Amino acid sequence: MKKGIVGGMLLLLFAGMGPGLTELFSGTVYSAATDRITLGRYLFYDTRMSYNLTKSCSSCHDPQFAFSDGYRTSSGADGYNVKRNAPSLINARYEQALTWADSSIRSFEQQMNFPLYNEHPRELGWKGHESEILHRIGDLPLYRQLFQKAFPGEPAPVNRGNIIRAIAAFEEQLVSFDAPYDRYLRGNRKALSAEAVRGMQLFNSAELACSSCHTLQPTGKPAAYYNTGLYNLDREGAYPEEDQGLYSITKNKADKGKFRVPSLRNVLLTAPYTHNGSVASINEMLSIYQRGGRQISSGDWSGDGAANVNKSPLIKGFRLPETDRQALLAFLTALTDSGLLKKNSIMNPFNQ
Amino acid sequence: MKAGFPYWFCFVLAVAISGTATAQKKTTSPKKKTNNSVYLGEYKPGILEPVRQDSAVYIQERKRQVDSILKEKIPVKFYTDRDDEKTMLAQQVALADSLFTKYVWEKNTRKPLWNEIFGVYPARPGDLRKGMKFLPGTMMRVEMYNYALNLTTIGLVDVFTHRLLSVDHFPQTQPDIPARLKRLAVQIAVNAPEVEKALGFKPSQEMPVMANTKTALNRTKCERSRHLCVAPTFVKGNRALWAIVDLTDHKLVGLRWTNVGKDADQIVVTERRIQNENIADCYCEQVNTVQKSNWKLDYVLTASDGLMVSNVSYKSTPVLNSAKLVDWHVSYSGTEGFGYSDAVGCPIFSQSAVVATDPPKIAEIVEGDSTVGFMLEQKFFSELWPVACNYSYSQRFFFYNDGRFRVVCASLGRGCGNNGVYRPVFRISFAGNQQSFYEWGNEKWSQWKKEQWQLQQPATAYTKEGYQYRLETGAGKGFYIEPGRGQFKDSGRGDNAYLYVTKNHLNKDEGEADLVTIGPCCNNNYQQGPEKFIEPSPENISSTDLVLWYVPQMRNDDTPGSKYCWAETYYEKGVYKVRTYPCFAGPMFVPYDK
Repeated sequence: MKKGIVGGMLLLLFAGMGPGLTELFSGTVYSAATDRITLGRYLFYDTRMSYNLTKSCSSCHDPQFAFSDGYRTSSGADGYNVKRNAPSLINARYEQALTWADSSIRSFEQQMNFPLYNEHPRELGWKGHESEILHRIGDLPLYRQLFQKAFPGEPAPVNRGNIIRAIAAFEEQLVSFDAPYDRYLRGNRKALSAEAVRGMQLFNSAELACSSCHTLQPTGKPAAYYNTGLYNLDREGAYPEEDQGLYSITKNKADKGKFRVPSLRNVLLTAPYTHNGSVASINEMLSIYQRGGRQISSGDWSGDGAANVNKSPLIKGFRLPETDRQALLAFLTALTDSGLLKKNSIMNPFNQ
Repeated sequence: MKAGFPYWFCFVLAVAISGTATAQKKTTSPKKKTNNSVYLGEYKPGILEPVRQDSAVYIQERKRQVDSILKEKIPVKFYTDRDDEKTMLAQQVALADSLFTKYVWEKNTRKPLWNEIFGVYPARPGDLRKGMKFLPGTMMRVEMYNYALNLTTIGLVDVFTHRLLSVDHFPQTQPDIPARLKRLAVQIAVNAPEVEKALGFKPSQEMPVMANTKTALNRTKCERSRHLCVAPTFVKGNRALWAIVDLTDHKLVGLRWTNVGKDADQIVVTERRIQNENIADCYCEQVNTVQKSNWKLDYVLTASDGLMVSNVSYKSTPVLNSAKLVDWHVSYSGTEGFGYSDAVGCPIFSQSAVVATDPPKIAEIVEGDSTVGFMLEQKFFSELWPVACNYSYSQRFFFYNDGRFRVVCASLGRGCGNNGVYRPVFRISFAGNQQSFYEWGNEKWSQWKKEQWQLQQPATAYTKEGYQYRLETGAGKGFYIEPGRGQFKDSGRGDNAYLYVTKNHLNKDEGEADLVTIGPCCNNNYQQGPEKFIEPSPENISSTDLVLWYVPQMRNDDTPGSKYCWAETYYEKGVYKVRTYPCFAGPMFVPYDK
């Protein structure tokens, strides 16, 4: 037990260390941490983690999509879709709050309770099946060995807490700071094309104001939540009843339609966009911001999001000639850390 | 005639055979893998327990049959769904030829490999090569599948002269699945206790749909269609249960649920007859000709490559050898890799679940008060569309008076999940042999010197007219290629297409004849099938015969206000009607002559 706490503290220590963490883990000094990451990696990719053997963490957080899944909303073990789009896990450890609209969820360990125990719909379906799943995992020699190494000295290391800790350890080291943009910041002027540099200037410009919300480096500041004018069902700022964002937590009317600002790291790989994945492409997303909100002209959710009363004043619309759009896209492309996403050490171990 | 032999085959086959040999070594090892092997993705007791599966009479019978056939002189199971004289004779002639049976035995040990003839059909117009001489009605096409190497062999047999006229071997491909294997897959699925448990009841033999459509599933032997796998699918309320059956190993390897949308009423609105005599007699593999708007072309409803146009000329100048729709890849999970890999075609030859039920249609293209060209359209349906897990596709060719043309297809839903990605595979072969290919970027055209592929992405550069590529057909002339970006006013939201350029070979078949399924359902990357004709050694493509392969990617959507690749029924004045949200995709070709 004591060692478990020490292990947890060690991870918390690492959590504050910032860029360069992955290199630290490659040595042998932190073998307990690396063993925990190794275990977490197996569990992350293992469909045994779902009650009916159909889903794993990677079903919604797949490395080929920068640890998102390419769907509007992911589907759970029973085939029912969850409410929200799966966010990328890359650099998620630096987020001050996780999930799209709950500022109280501040760690992977807290967040993991949702996919494990959610029932409407079931995601991994642990509720009522916890013992069965733990036995299933603990029965395997592979896992018995991995748990013993990751949690040395514990008499019964295969338990829910350790599973969560191990997966969190794996997620903690999904860190990307080697995109062309990062290399440019580190002084490699050739890392960005002239067009991408022009795009970076636009990104940071007062007119587009992208960087007002989308910070590209960890800041340590509290998570920001904005209404970006995606809907306006009743001309009074209503979002679809099924998801009102931060309002569902605070019950403050001004919070209707507010969602956490997502990371733009690897953004070209994480389509579709927004909390419900309702924006199919990056070009569509830019067009919405360009217009100052989304106009939906037909269907149950029709309305002019640009006129949403709760919309952030930062979403005011802007001019974006085609050359500027291309430049902005070139910059957003330069946020892709393709090196990280090809690393064997974060890929599915069952395929190797 | 010398048999066609794709150059890329040698490499792939070498890998495949070495893999087979390794597998055989492993089975002789005393250390057997347990059911807890971490290399298999499906762990549920039952799924990995061959003993219980094998207690089923139909599996035992099948395995006995395999064992018995492997002991025969020619270890190949005959196609017996039809037993007419021509069908049997075509198989006998094919199997008597060593070129056809080249991969029936393991290369070094000569051990027999499990092969089965999946179909024997009358030869199709696309099968016929220059110089082939035969009497009408005597040419037959024999399709054989090699389970060990995941390889399709196609032979053309003249049953009058008892001669095999050509052979092609296609690694990593699978032919249409015969009815008897569909029945076997259904038997395995409906009798699986896992399926019964998931559904909450034992399904009937009639319940599953799409049972003969090839599928895949990651972390099983079905991954990337390495084994022959199908997915009898059970629609239950707003969900569909996929029972993924490995027909190489004769067992269920996985179950997956998909969400088929909130309004998945089981209401059949269309009553289309799959077997339409008019289509069969007039259009199935029958060449028709149209001459209109300065264009002249032949068109034919193929067995499995959709509607094909050929010998296309504009003002008497040849433009295309042919253009057709080779495959439909429909993915419902990029992360888990399951979906359908299907083809569309003529109902009498095709085993496909989505077939032509109406003849091709020709319509004028009218802009304002003027007729600016004409459109040739073929529609394909599953019988119960728009019920969930049924499909409808439209294939269109637009020919304009000014020499432009566009190759288009659409999905009209509804499909088997609301997280689907459709990837149709077009093959477009240009006439002539002096073509070169260019791509726009950095404000200039750059030539592709070797066979390669490219993906249309958000940051892709276009000319101010919207052209991404240019195909030069001669000095100073050719076609600009304008991919869909939502500009064609047909509800298309952009093609997001992979484009491949390959060299056209006259002495070997790289898709000119009717193609079997060339790619797995669910790859998220460039591996959609055409890369097989590029890798591992891309050829020079300057001033030569070129083929373009175009694979758009359309993501379906059932969200109110933005439905796409979708269909639904609605109630109006006492009856049910269908509302569709088609997703059109395909490039426009714009001629230039400097």
